[in-house]
Amino acid sequence: MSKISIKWNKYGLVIAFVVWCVVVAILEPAFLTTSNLLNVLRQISMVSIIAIGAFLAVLTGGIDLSVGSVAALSGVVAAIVMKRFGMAVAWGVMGGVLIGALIGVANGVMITRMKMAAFIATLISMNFAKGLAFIFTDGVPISGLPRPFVFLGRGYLFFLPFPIVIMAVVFVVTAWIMHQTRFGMRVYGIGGNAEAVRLSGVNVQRYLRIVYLVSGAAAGLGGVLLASRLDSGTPNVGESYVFDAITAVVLGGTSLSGGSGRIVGVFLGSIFMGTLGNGLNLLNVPSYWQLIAKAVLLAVAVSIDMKAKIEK
Amino acid sequence: MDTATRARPFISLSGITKHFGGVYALKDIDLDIYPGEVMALVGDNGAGKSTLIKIISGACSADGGDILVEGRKVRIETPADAKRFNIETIYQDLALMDNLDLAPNIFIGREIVRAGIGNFFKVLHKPKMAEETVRILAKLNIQVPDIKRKVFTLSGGERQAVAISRAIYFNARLIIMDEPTAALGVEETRKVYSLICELRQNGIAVIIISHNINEVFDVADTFVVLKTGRLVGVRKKGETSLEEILRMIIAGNAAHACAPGDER
Repeated sequence: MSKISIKWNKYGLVIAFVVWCVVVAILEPAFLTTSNLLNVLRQISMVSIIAIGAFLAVLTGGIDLSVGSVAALSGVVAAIVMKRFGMAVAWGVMGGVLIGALIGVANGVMITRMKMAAFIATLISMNFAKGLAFIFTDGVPISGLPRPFVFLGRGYLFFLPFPIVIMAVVFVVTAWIMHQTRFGMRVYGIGGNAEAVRLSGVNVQRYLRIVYLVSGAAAGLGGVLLASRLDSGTPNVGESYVFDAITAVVLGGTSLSGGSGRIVGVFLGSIFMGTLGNGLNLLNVPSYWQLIAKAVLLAVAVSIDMKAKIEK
Repeated sequence: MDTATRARPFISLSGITKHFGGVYALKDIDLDIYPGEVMALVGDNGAGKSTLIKIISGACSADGGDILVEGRKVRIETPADAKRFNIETIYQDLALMDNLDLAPNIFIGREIVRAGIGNFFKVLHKPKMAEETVRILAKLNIQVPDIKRKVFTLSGGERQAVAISRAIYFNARLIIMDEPTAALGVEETRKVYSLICELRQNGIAVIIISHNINEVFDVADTFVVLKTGRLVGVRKKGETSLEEILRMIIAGNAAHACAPGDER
């Protein structure tokens, strides 16, 4: 009995994913076409980059709820830098990533210096970033961005949509960092037993600040790509992303109690989220019902994580 | 083996004092620990044992008194300070990262790295760390089925052995163990004690905190009894008995009228 349930923990979501794909493919032949699959990958590229940041926070046993608002704010800031200040595209991209990193630093300071719980610190910055995004734009999207900028989200490298290329690079680099560098090992260690790492002479608080900085910067990059794809810095666009990103992290097998999870899992979780949305769209399920479907999926994934913990 | 290996003490404490508000957790503790000496730190709950080892291991700092390492006065304010003086601590149950395999658990904080970019992106030398892990386990006669196993799958004794290997690998001169056998079965406890004897043979000083005086009585050379933050007395194994130590723990005074007739 217990053996079967352990297997279910491990492969249950993979099975669910495969079943879902088969069902959609049967009901809607357009699902399994190259162009649709590339479309799914392009759709998940932003969420998955944001999810990488959220993954790091979850891996340390924390969480970053601000990633969605930060993505929106970053897109807005990038648009302002290019459109209002008339600066080059590179500055726009950097400005977007930088504002994300700054919010990340604020998260890190609240968590490590003011000793706030991660969820409350990032809830605070979530609203703060959202407020800033609306103040900067007066609530009106800034559209008509420079062509080279829009290329980031809409262009192609040969046959590959450019955001997929960016996503691939981000995932490969992050996976390498997490599995081959001292930084990665220590972050895993902090997730497993922060006290043990501290007693080993590592400045755990500093590592946590770096993690939240990276999380903010990743959300910033995701937001910049999103703005580029939409050709607009829109203050309310990234909000749904926090849910999708964290769901992708958990679906990918990352434990909410910290210490376990892999970058490749984040990628698979993102793909699951992407095919779910894409399939529901193809099947003409109204978007409000899609929210319900995603919520149920997250509930199932978290309950499996909890069950695995209890059995351990 | 005899205790005071005629050399000078590895570490000397004098007048160590620690208070929390108006309450003294430790008052005027003087203590010498010699290389190759196995010292049992015993006493009731609240006697100050944990506070004392925390001060030596840098987990908290004393309010007064001096620490000398090999005759030199030092300040130990962080765990990193203690490690610099080759003092390693094995904490009861917060020593290991369950989610990782053996090598990271031994090397965390002092990883073997190749070159790297900046301070954070130092690239791990994983094969070297794996190799060294195997070597150190073999040296201590520790059998672990597979060093790629996550630590949470190991038994209590194996976990303790990993923690000890970690200390040894970094040339510990003094190893502090907080309740090293609390969670272990009989056979595993025996193994840990034989490891401790191995440490003594290598001239490494060991401080063991234990509630189970019967158990440490066999392995320790010296007994240090604390009660409510004060040093009740220090006894050498050959000159005392289990009964005397127990009396000191409970009564909090060092009665001299004890005949060491039935010692162990």
